[in-house]
Parts: sequence; C-alpha cells; structure tokens
Amino acid sequence: MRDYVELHAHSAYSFLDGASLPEELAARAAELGYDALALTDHDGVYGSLEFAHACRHLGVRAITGAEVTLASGAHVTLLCESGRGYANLCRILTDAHAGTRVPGRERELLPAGTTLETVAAHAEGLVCLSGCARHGLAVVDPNAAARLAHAFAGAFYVELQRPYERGDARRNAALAELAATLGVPTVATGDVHAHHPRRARLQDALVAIRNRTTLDGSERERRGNHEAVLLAPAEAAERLPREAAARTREVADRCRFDLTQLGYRYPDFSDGPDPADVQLRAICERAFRERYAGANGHRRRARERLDEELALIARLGLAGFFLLHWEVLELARECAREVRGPGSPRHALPPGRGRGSSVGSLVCYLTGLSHVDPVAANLSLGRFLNDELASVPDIDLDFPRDVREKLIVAVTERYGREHAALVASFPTYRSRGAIRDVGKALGLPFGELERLARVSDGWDATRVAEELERVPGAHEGPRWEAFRELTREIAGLPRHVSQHPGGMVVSTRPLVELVPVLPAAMAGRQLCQWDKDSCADAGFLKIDLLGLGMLSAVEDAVDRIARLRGETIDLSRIPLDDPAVYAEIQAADTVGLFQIESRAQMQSLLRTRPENLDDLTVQVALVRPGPIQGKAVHPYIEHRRRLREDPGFVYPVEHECLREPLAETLGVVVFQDQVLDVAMAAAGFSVGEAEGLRRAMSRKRSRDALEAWRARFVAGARENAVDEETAHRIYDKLVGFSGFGFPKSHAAAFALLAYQSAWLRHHYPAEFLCALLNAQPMGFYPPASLVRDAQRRGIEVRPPHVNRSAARCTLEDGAVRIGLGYVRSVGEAEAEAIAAGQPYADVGDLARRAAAGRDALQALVAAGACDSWGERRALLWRLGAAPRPAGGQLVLPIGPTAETPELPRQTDWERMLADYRHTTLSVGVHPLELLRPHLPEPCLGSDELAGVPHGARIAVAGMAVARQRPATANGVVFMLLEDEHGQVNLILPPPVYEAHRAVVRGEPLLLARGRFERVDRNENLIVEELETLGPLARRVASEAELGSALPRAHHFGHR
Amino acid sequence: MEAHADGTPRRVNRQHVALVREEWRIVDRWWTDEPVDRRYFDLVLESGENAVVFRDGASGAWLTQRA
Repeated sequence: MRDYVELHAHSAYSFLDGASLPEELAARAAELGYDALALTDHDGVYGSLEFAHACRHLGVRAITGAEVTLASGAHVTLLCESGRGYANLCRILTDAHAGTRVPGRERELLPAGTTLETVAAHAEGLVCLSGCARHGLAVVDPNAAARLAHAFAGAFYVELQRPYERGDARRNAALAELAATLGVPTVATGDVHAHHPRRARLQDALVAIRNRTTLDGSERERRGNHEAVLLAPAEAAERLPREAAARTREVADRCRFDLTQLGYRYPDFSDGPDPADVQLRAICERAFRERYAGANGHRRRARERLDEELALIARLGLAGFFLLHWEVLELARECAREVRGPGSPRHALPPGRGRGSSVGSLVCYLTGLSHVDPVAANLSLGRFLNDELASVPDIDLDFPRDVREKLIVAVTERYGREHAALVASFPTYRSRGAIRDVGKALGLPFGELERLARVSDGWDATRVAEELERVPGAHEGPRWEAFRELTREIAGLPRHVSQHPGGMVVSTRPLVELVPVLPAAMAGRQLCQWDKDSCADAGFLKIDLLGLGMLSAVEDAVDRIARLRGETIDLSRIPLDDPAVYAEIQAADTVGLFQIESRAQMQSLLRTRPENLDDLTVQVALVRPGPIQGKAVHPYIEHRRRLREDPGFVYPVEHECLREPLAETLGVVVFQDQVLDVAMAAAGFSVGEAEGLRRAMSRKRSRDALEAWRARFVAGARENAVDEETAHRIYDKLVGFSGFGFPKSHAAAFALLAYQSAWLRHHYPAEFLCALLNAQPMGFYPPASLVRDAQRRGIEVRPPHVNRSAARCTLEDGAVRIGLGYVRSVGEAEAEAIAAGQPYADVGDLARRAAAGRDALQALVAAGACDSWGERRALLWRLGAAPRPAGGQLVLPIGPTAETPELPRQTDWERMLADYRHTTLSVGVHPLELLRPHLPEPCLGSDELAGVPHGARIAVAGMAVARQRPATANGVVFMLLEDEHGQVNLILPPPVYEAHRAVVRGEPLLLARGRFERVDRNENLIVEELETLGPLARRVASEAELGSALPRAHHFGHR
Repeated sequence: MEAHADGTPRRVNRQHVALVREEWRIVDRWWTDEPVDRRYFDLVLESGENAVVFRDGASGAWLTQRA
C-alpha cells in the first residue's frame, strides 16, 4: 500500500536511541518509495532542519515533529500542521527542558519533561498521536490521553504500533477500544529507530550505552528484536489494521508545514527614531572624525571607502546588522569595565577584536568591531561584503575569556531569554568514544579497550577494526566481531548536546518559537537546539563571541606592567617595526607567542625571516592546510630567499594575469581572498561567482559541484587568453587550497596580536611569562616548557611558596613566582583562601587556619610549597598529626603529641618528579640532567647540534613536549624533545611511527637515533630508531610511577 | 509440524491450528556464541488446547514452549 506514511521515526538526534542520521532516513525513505516521512525525535528538533533539507533534495516531504516526554514519563507524538503549530512545538519543547538543569548543580543533566497542561495549552496547529507502545500516554495513562483528546479536538489520534512483542494484540485491542470510547480515530505508526536493518544491532548497543550498562545487562530496556526499522510502505501497512494504516495519509496531508521556510528576522533597528542607515552613518561619522583627525595621509582614501561601504550596506539592507554588532560591542565595553574594575590599566584596551573577513571593512573599524585600519593595511572588502551577497556576512569577535563569560550572559539579558541563545554543537562518535562505548556495551575487557584507545588514531571510527589488527592479542569471537561492525556503524553519529565555542543567535521574533531553547551546563547560559549548520540553513544571524587565551594573557601582562612599573602601555601605539622584536622572530625564538610558536611555524620562520607586519601577516596564513595543500609554501619561501639575495629577481607566476593579484605573496595563493582574486583575474568571474566557487570548495565538498565549477573556470580562462592546460593547473591549485586558509584580514588581525605578544615578551619577559602561565590552557606548549624556555632566556622562576605565592602566578623582585593555584588538588577558591590567611608560622598553623581540605594541604607540601619549613616527608608527617578544625570548633594551638620519626630525605629525582606530579612543571633540575650520566650510549645535547654536519648519524635523548601528526603530512609525525639545554626536532617517517607507535604516543622520556638533517637554518633528526628511557629512568630513580608524574606531550592534528 | 507459505504454523503435533492468537519475534544475544533468533506463535489447536511454538531462525527447527 503506497498510501502508508511513516509518522513516527527517530534519528540519532534521539541521542543514544535512534541509530541513523536524518539524511540516512531521508535517503532510505526515497529508496523505499515514500513521498513523505515524519521525524519525531525525543524532546527535540535537533536534526529536523537537516532532515527537511535532505528530504527536499530527494523529493520526499518532511513532516516536522517530536516525541515529547511528559513529567510522568509518558510520551506523546506531536506533528506540525502549520507554522503556528511549529511555534507551539518549540514552546512545548523549551518548557520540557526548562527544568533539566537545577541552579547550583547545572552540570548534572536531568531528564526532560513537560506537563499535560502545557501541551494542551499549545495544541493549536499541532496533531497529537497518543505515543509509542511502551510509554505512550494512551497506554500508561488513558485518562490523561482523554484530556489531551479533548484539548486537541479533531487533531488527536490513538497510535497503534506493532513492535512484534508479546502482548501487541491485547494492547492494540485496548487502544482501539479507547479510541472508540473517546470518539477519535486510530493511526498506525512504525516507531522507527533505524533506517536499515543493518543498524538494528547498533540500536541495541545504543540502548545499553544510554543506560550505562552492557547488552547483557539491558535486556529489559532493549527492544528484544530488530523490527523497529524503516520498512517499505506496503510491508509496514500490512502489520496493522488497514484503516489505521490508511489514516497515515490523512494525517500526513494535514501536516503541510515546511521547516525550510521559517521567517526569521534579526533585530534590525527599524523601530528606532531614524532609519537604520542614518543611525549607522552617524556612528561611523563620529568615529571617523576621531580616527582620521588631523593630517592623516589616509583621510581622503578613507572617506571614499566609507561612502562606498555605507552605500553598499544600504543597497544590501544590512545597516541593522552592523548596528546589532555595534550594540553587542557596546555591551562588551560595559562588561569589560565591570571585569577590569575602575581605574584598571587595561582601560586602554578595546573590549574585544574582530577576526575573519570583517577586519577588511572600514565600517567595522569605525564601529569598533575591528582594530585594524583597513585603509592603512590595504585590506579588501571583497569576501565580506559585495553586491552579490546571498546571506548575512559572518562577524567573529575575540574577547579575553573573563569579558566573554560576562558578555554571553549580558547579551542574553539585553535581548531577552526568549530572543537570544547560544548555538549548540553535537560531538559525534570518533574512534576513542566508539571503542570505549561500544566495547563496554559488548562487555569486552576494559584493559584491552584502553590499550586500543591509546594507540588509536582518534578520529575515524570506521578504521577501528583496522587498528585492532595492529594490537597484539587474539580478538576473536562474536563479541569482537560485533565490536568491529558496530564501531564502523556508530562512526559520525551524534552522542550528546554540547555548546558551540561562542556562537549566539538573536532574533526579533521570539527565538523560542523558531527553535527550542534549553539551559546550558553553565549558569545563566542557554542553548538553542540547532548547530551552526542548521542555524545557517535557517538564515539565523550568528554572532561569534570567542574567547581567546592570548587576549587574556596580553591584558594580564599590560595590567601587571602598569601596577609594578607604573608604565601604561597602549598596545595600539607601540612601534610596529622594533628590530629587536623581529630579530627574535627571525631566529624562531617564539615559544609562547601567538600563532607563530608552533614547531612548523618556527621552521618556516627561520627561512622566511619576516621583516615587518605585512610579512608576518603572510606568515600567519602560510602554515595552514590550504597553502600547504595548494603547494604554496615552498615556492613562497624560495621566492623570498631569491629576492633577499637579488632584489631584482622576478618571481614566476602561472600566468601574467596573476602577477598583480598575487603580488603580496610572491606569486602563490596564501590568503582565502586570493582565491577570489585569481578566479576573477584568470577566469573573469564576478565577485559573486568567485564567492560561489570559494563556498563550493569550503563546505562539505561535493566532487560534482567542483567539477562543474572547473568547466566554468576553464571556459572563462580561455576567453582571457589563458591556455587550457594552465587553466587546469591554476584550478587544481585553488582546489588544493580550498577553504582551509585565512582571509588576509583575519591574518592581519592575528599578525598584529602575534607582534604585540612578541613585543611584550621581548620588553617585559617576566610579566609576559607570568600572564601566559595565568592564561593556561592555551597555545602549543605545556606550562612546563614555557617555564624552561623562559629560564633559558634568563628569567628566574620560583616554585610555589605557601607564604609568598598568591593564588595565581605573580612577580616577585623581577622573578616569576608560581601561584598556589598551580598545585593540583588546590581549587581556585582554596588557593584564594590560603593566600588570604598568609603568613603561616608552620605546618601546624597552616592545618589549623587554612580554609582548604586536607588533600589540598598535602598537595601543597608535596609540591614543595612548604620547603622553607623543612623536608617534605617530615612536613607531611607533621601535617597528618596536626589537629584540624571540625564542625566550626576552634582548635587549641597545642604542640605535636608524637615526635617526628627519622624519615629518609627525598632524592633529587623524587623532588623533581613530585614537582611535575603536583604542579605539572618544575623550576628545578631537568630530568635529562639527572638521566644523562646513565644513558646507554653517548647522546648529543640540543646545545651541541650546531656543530654537527648534515647527514651525520647521531642519537639524542629528551622529554617529549609536543607531538604532531598533521593531516597534510601523509602520515609523518613531528615531535619535539626537550633536554636540559633546549629542544630538538624529530621527524618520524610513517614506517618508523608504525613500528614505535606505542612509544611515540605514551612514553615521556625517549632516546632517538637517526640522520641529522640541516636545511637552511633548520635542524631536524630524521628518526630511524626510537626507544623509551622509561625503564632506565625508573631504575635510576627507584621510582615506579615516573610515567604518570611527567607531563604528557601536547598532541596536535590526527592522532 | 507444518507451516503455511507465509511461515505461520498450520499443524502442530498432528493437530490443525484453529487460531493464531499472536505472533512475536525475538532477536537477541547476537553478540554471544548462542544467538537467539526466534519467531513465536501463540496458538489455539483444533482440540481447544493452547500451544506456544517457535521457529528457530538459525536451524529452521520448530520447537514448542510451555504456554
């Protein structure tokens, strides 16, 4: 029977219940011959827009709905007839989630549930089905069903399902009788949980995972068979009474609401006293007079640019959009004032800064959205704003973390909780999660799973079966077979709801009528049920409020300098051509700097040798997947070298028409906007066409679409007298570059912050280190490496001290004093409380007065914060024996009742390991200094490499600091080893990595042998053999838990 | 044990099936060495007697279970 329409289907957005993605359901429905299908996830429309768009492309009509949970635990299925109905569904779902986070215990997620009254009050425009076989309202509470039938007069159906469980016949007979009594019709549904029978096993496993148990332990919760899959219409219809099956068509015909036509509007300031265009011009003119006052050489150009931009904004009708962002920035200013406090030296700093292509706009500069003068920096507007713009442009704003925290809540309050929310994100299953969750559900041994998870690549769960082959041991039998199958099937399914890093959506019409809103895990924040792709598809305006660790660090440093030295630094006025700063950058002395500190950046810096901010702008954008895959890096470096040697050198270009658009980057594509420029210059594309090409490259890439664009590109190029072969070559490079690069404006904004960080690090190294340590986690290096680097540059770093440290890191006589907050087990509040009670006379006094738990106090002693009172072991003994206040009772200051026994002194090894274990860093002896005399063979120190000839075979030893496996490097792994003198770069070719996978990934102390390579000023060891120094170190140190004490290497890229 | 073309039982223990009261399916323990794949029928036989029978998916064998 073709008339059957499935009205009850769950996707993977019924988290850990549905086993298929919405687009898989849509595609399967089309394949089976459905012309309509409903998506009814539990308490949400998370996947509904994705589903609606997928259906539309496949010629299937999407019906929007949800299976809503009532406070009693019963379910009803709601389907949208109209826009009013959808708005009501969103309000019902918002209400269902409102109580899922209890104030003060926001981290704990409670089950969703709304009331019968709420559902009844929002019945307009909705069709109500009475719910599923197990939990349906008509099954568990027929009286309540009767009340809803009344509220939904004419739009209430008793739902009949056939899950092939024992008791189906009796239940359906009772339901039919209830329908007759209530005078409402019945309708058949399939309660689909998978698009295809091959996902049915996964559905079983998901139920086990959701219930935090095994498949064996979840018999009651599981369905017991594999019938809940999408069947062909005729097959589904056969299972249930003909009349109920036929009625699915009647219900489907009622539900004509199309989610792809939502009617969203952002606040556009159209209700102000003046039109939005006039308001925007007034703000810009005011700022223009300030910024371009006096004899500014750019004034005339800036005036022309401003008029041009404002006219374009008026034509596009986007004045309200800019005013909205301006208003957010004004809010940010208020938040910053509040966070920084009155009279703070940070007042000279803007509250945040723009990133992305918006930095190219003068209007953004004048409204405070960007801090880079686009006229002076010669930034183009192209990508951000043009006449052919199809959607609202993106504006990304970076804030120091503390300002951002406040701003998110302030924006929600300013526009109202019904009008603003954060964008959601849905973490999906990758290999580690798949290994752990599926393995646990199958009851596989925990140790085996952990072993596999550790060596797994981490990303692609479809490859887990392959990775399992490489782990020693017999992984045979049905459980392991199922493990191989299910990890592949679960790959890419969403696991739970999380929060986008900072995207907010704001709406004129109540947002809660456009998408349900739920409380987030952080107090005061709320999320909408859509991720950034769905928000973009809905046309929502997303404002990205991003937290940037370096901005926090820079603010902290400026603040400290002002307080300690009385120097007020306005970072917008520092000289941008300080030779000493560039000398350090050119020597790749950049540990701790923004954007240019990574191993790959350092290697590049040694060859490109940036001399000014423009060079740095290219540098920031160069070491990115786009330019790497677009094969731009080596030609750029080579052209720079040739130009350095011969200023008359004319670099080659693919075609003369590209010389001008690629002039800044010496003939190669480095910036995203150059993709547009090249397409326009070579193929004669319009701005809009070029932007279309860029989008085709950057979104989920479709081979067909890219090939269609190739034909247009080559045809256009031919008309521009570019021969076909060259046109293909240029196009291939553009495709190689794709979307994985920075726009120039974004790179310029980041380059400026990179320079500012370099300037602070050079002139105020101690303040800068202190600020960096306080802004962790951030950047490429762990705190331990930042400290070692600073020590090598002559900065004194002092360990935590119970009487001298503050809660955070501070400066003390020009040295950096590690804060008490760095001691693990000491929480932020405890660190503050301990600092507030200083000074303490001895351990007994500390135990008596410090408002901190015993664990925290023990950690303080173990970390060396009390070393001035004696040996750590003896202090721990005394701390254990010291009386502590209990139940608010004061403790009498009486002496110890027992003598401290004679305890062995800690060795250097023990002290160093305790430092690392308890504070993640050590300011004392380096492990390699202690280990070097015991190494099995002579190993060169990092300070001896300068004299080693290219090609020599050498061995080095060190502690792994960073490990990188970039997707663009074809399996090559880069490692950074640190010894007592500095760092050594290791390059591990894929066979070496495969042979030593476990050592590379898990061992902190390593010995590497191989061939020394020197290219230009770069020095690398191409590793041939690698071994762990763990057993040797354990022997020498007589310490069994060495591995867990030393910091783990930071990992970047593919695992 | 005899069955119709659609797999429903026709004769059980040499008696005609008067009524199939209910059918249900169990597919379980597929991750173990003893997977279960059964199609159950709750029957009334011509003698008026109740019977629950199932067909094992793996072996194709019919078995009776106490009703």
